[in-house]
Amino acid sequence: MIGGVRVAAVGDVHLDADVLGRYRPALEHLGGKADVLLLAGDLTRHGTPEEARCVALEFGGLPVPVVAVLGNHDYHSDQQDAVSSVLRDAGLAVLECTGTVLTCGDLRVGIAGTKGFGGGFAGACASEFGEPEMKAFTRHGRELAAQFAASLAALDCDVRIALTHYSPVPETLLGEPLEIYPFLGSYHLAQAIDTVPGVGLAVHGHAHAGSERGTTPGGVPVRNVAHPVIRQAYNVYQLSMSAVLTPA
Amino acid sequence: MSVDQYVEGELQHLLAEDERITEQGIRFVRTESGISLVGEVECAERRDLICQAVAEAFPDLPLRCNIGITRVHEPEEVEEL
Repeated sequence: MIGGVRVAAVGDVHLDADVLGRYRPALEHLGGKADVLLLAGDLTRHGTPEEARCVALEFGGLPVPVVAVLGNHDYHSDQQDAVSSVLRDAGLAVLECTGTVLTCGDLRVGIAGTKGFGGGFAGACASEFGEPEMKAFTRHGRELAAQFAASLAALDCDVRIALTHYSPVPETLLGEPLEIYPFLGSYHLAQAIDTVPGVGLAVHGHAHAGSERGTTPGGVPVRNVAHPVIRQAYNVYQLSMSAVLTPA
Repeated sequence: MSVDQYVEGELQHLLAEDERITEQGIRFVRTESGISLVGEVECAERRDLICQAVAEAFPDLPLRCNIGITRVHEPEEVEEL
């Protein structure tokens, strides 16, 4: 590896037995193209262990580490813990307000991940006010973002990568109806990313009709890698040495 | 049959909540005579099932399927950040 780290990423692959094997030909040369593969949630259709086994077959046994977060589809059957277990048994790292550090050449690459949640964006966001359901909706997103910030900060590494399912910024939602932005992401995720120094890339999925590129208010590149957005098996991003931090 | 916002609302619920489908990424475009379904899914079977479910729920609704299959080819480019 020369001059940084190569990050492959895709989200919203929605696997089950019907599409098992579709990605595998494109993954054949992954080891020559990337140092790590990130999966940005919605790995399954209904969040069942059976579908998770399809994900394990499709993305297990690859020549690079695979790091994943779950998405809302992966929670649909209330079996998210079983889904995560199946994926971990296949060698995938599954993050939820946790992190992992990989060694890529001379670099320690830290990745923190969370599903994240909705809530909307500054100036048009949900608040903990009114009915208990509204308070719970808002609180869930804020609590996840706070824990996510802590997991990012705890990484002992040279460069940090933020992996979420929900979007941290509205720019990568362009193309989606404005009315559903509060269900697609939360500015609290961007705030978490910007709070921690040295984040070189933020990757998310979830917004199928959104746009690929955005930036947090703090200047961190954000990429929406939902499969219908990138329209190929995965994207590859090269983080240059200038993206590498020296931890405080 | 005309398409109004209530029909659109029912279609949205149908595609998201029907356990055979669970799709939230399909848009509905009203046409002069009916509705066009627009979006991408992972395989032809899922596309056909969506159109079948909508036709079953709204048999009098002229339907055009503009749902594509998301490609899975290997990337040729790298974006430098």
